[in-house]
Amino acid sequence: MSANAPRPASDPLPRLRQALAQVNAVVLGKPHAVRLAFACLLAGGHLLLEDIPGVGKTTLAHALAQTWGLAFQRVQFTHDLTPGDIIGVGIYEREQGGFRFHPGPLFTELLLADEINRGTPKVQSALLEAMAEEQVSIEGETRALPAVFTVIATQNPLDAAGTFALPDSQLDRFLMRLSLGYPDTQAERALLAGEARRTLLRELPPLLDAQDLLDLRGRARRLTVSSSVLDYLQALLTASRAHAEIRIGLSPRAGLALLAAARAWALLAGRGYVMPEDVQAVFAAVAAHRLQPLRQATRDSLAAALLAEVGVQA
Amino acid sequence: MNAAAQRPDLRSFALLSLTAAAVLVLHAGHLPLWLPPPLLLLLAWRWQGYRRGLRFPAALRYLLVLALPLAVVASYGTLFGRLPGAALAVGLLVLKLTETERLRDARIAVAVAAFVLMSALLFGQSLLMTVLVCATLWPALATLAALQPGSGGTAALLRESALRLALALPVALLAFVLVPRLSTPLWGAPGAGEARTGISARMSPGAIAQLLIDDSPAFRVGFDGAIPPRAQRYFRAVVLWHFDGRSWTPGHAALPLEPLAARRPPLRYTISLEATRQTLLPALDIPLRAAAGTRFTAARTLLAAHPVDQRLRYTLESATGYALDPRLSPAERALALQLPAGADPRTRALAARWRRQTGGAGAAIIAAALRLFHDGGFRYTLVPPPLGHQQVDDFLFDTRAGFCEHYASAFVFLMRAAGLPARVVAGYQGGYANRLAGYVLVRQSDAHAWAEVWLRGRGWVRVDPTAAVRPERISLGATAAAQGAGAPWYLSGWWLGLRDRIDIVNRLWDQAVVGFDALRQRGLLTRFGVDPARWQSLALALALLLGALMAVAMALTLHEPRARVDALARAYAVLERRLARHGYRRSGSEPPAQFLQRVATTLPPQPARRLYELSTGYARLRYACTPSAPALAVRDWIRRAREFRL
Amino acid sequence: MNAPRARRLVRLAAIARERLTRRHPGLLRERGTETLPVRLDQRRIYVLPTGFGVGFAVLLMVMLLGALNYNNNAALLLTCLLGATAAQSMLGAFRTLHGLSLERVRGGSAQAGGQVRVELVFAASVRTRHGLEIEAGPARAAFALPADVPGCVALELHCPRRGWQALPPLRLGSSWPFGLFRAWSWLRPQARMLVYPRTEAGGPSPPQAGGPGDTARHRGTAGDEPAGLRDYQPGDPPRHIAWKPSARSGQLLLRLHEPPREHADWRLRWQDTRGLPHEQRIERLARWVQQAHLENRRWTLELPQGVLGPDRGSGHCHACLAALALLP
Repeated sequence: MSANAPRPASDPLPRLRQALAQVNAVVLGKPHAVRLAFACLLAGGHLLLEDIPGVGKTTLAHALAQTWGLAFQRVQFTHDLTPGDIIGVGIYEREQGGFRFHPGPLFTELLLADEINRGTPKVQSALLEAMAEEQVSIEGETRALPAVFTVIATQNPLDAAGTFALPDSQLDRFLMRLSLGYPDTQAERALLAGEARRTLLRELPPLLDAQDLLDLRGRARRLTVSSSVLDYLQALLTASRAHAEIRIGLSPRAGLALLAAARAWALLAGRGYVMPEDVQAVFAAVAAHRLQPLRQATRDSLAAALLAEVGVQA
Repeated sequence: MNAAAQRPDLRSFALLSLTAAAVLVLHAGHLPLWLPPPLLLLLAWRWQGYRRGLRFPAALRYLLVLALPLAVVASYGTLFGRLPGAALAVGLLVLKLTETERLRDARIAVAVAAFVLMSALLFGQSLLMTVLVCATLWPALATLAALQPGSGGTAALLRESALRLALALPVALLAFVLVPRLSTPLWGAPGAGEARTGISARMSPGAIAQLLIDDSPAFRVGFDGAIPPRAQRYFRAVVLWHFDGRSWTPGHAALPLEPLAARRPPLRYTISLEATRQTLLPALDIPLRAAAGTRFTAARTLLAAHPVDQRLRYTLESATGYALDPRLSPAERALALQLPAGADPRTRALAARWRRQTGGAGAAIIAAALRLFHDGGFRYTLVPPPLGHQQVDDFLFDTRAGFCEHYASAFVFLMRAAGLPARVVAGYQGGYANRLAGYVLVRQSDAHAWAEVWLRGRGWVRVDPTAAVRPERISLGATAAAQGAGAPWYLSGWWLGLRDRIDIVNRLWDQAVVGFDALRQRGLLTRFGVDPARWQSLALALALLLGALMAVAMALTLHEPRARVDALARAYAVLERRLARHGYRRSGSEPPAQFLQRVATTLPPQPARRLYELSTGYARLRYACTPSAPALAVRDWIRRAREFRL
Repeated sequence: MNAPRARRLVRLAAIARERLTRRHPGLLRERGTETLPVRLDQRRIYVLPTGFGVGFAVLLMVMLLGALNYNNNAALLLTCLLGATAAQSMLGAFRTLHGLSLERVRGGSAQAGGQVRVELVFAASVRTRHGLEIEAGPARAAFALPADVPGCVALELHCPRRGWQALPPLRLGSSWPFGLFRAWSWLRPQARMLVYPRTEAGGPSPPQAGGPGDTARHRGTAGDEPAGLRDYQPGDPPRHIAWKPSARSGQLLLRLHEPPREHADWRLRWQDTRGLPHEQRIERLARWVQQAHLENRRWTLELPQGVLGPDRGSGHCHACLAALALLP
């Protein structure tokens, strides 16, 4: 397939499926994670990839940007990165005789914030604020970010030296948190035998565009959610607040995030309505990083325990 | 801080004020005019203050607490009695609200309100009043609920209280029927100050009409022998000689006792008279002798020595076939022919014509008058049109509508004008014969007026002109006669019809509730094998029935529906159980549709396909349809689920 | 009375009491704990009239006598209606509690001497329950449970000591709807809360300077001194452009910085608090732990029982405080 193949302007849903297949062809053996990443984009949320280096975090972000046809920027977070470095600064230009704003990498459609935990808390909070507000204020002037502005942040949870872990309160700015994990044997063999990912990425044709993304987001928001699904969702929220091992349960914002993600998941499945299955599929990714364990339990195990404990009424 | 010491919230105080205002309004009808407006103003002021969190000035409150009894005394001359008591109670209720600062006070205020509310019924037991008073329990109970910590919204409170009242109604009615009635009051006399009237010694227009709608018992008669037939049960209470053109009165002349000759063996009976606050004692026809403590009037009606304040029993022997006063003295004749000068010329003319036509024969004149009443287009009604100055003329020639009082009055006038000595007798007629208990209950509504005409050789002869117009009045009673009376209601206009209907409802109310006394209780309960004479058996019945009701309520309470389950969920549960019998079990957290798909993957193609269809169908019905799935599709799914076999 | 007989009586009384509490688990305060969920059924709900209820009954009697005495049937009907409503409100109080199920008890974290927020979670029930009250010792709360969703009520309990603290017996009651009858049941859910030690109000920082645990990588150069320059490349942060050298050289140059000084890791050792009373040693260590967490350091807590860390973050902080709380 060549990069300038004519793109049909019709219904984006079939192309969405094609796009899913295309990203899966690059990020091998992680169909669930890829689908969740798609759901995150469709729900209009930001994605936190938490994993050791080298498992394909960057590849996934690149593949997503390419396939979705989104303007892409990458920022490597380091301790000496300043807020201005990502937002932009006004530079004095002699010819014009005044300051001109040089927008930073933030003004893009898809931003890859690599190793976000290496940035100082100041930079982190500048980014997270932009994510929450969907705009930035520089020197009293408010500049809107692109309509589809999405952040994919990565961090390495094990490398703690010289890092600033994202505070719990900031974590829930991310709609989902995913870990890719090692590929299975088969996928790893395919990876080793196949072409270099970098080459593959370069050749990926954009199948969708920003307008498609906005359309699909609108469509996801309009999906039917029946009261029994809301009941189930509420039961999950309440159980998280009541769980003996959880210090702080899921907030109402987490409930909204869960609903949006479940809607996106249902849209990916081509359904016009949400089922409890959709809620379950996205629950760990949406909820785990928002749970605060009381003791040494991991967040993922808590999310799994909640899912197993809360019954679905027929 | 003690919970009871908290300040009631604004909402409960609003409900409390509403309750107090309602109590005040219900009492307003009989309070002196100067009292309700200041109390309402005080209430409004207090409400404004409470809203702003202010306390009522204590000094002012003490002043008002002192001033209230003084004002009541100034108005009534006393603090005691029904009216001053009510004024005082209503005033104190409002003053209680001015000091309500704690939950405890508010609760007490509600209790006080309930009591004052009940006292409103001492002034009238009409259906409307009773309904209004019972309805005021609603805000009162809502106030109590609002004072509970953790109570819901105001709408929920009102709903809860209304529901509780509605649920309590059957129990209340049962208790009402079964509570043993007192045969004699424990204290005091009912209605001090205001005569519990019966027949009075003065018959003015409409006097009896008031009695006719009063269903309370007048007296009861126990006969030693058989109960005489209804048409013969005329109880004379007072003989009225003097007519002033409007009212009949006994007259003042001192006459000798009229001699009596009994023609049939006398009847022996005992009358148990309710308190009347009068001295008139009704007796059947003509008693032979006055009972102990009573005396005869000249016309052989009985008078008590003192006004009857308590139930009075007296035993008499009466003649029902008799010759009374066969020789009329001139003084009596003069009294029995008295007519107000110049009144009712047309009636006099008519009587004069009769006299000429009959040659003064008594029986013929009586027959002519009765024929006039029977064929002259007269009708019997309890709501007669008003009469002008020439009362008898107006009645006989214009309105031709009225009840016993009008007929008796006009008849006696006619007789006198025709030269026959005649007099009006007021008393009671008929009564309700309780065959089971062997006595006759005579109610105030059985009050009646008729005539006695003196015929040569026969003495005073009873003539009941009302019977000529409406014989049912004598055979059935006033109510029955009135209901069948006159033109159809629609001819009299919608208003009259409405009034009749309201009247019927009120009458039913009076009979069923207000008049439900020990006697009626006995009549009702003996049919169910309860002996109401012994209050123990009543109490036992009450306790048993209430216990049974409580048990039913308890059982309903204990039956706790687990969850709301709709038809789809029920059908799914059945399917789930069927699959479980084949070893397919759904964990609680497995979504229902996913479970069916999981089972389908293990099945042979045919059932797998059908189960898969059930799964997608279920998902569509359950999750795709808001707010609810179409009934037809649900039924179809249920049918397919029922037909599914592994 | 002789001694064996007295002993037998005492034993009989104990047996009777034991039987009573087994059959009626909600009647008395004292008894062993119960496992969750605790569902309230008719066996453990008790109803008695309140003081106001007794007063109200007296009022009803007066009204009844008055109505009967004056032969006033309308008043009698009113009295019957009020009485029936009052009597039936007994079921209302009972119904408020009946079928209620306490699912979970969650204790928040608390410091000794402070308040802990305990949340009681009740299962969803099919009807709304108003006018519920819960008491645990001096703490009380009134609440209502809406229908169809699980409900939650919080109590603030006082925590005098660190360590595990058992939940006091809870009295769940209701006088709904009119306050005439009170239904209640004692609950003793098996739940305990971990109370963290009190933190010292003030005191020395952990002894770190020159200690073997100090891993500061401080090299004595100030962070804003440029360590070198390189050519500007597109995408480089404009803020790092070294304007003066750039002006001199005629092309944009970028400043290279040393990494900033990192917060040193801390070693918080039980031995370092020697000389203080036992409880004060714990309080000091607790303060250090919290200080380290606030400064976003990594720290190690060395206790006689074992070593926690090195680690950072709230999870580590809670683990350390828990370990301190549970010290003998």
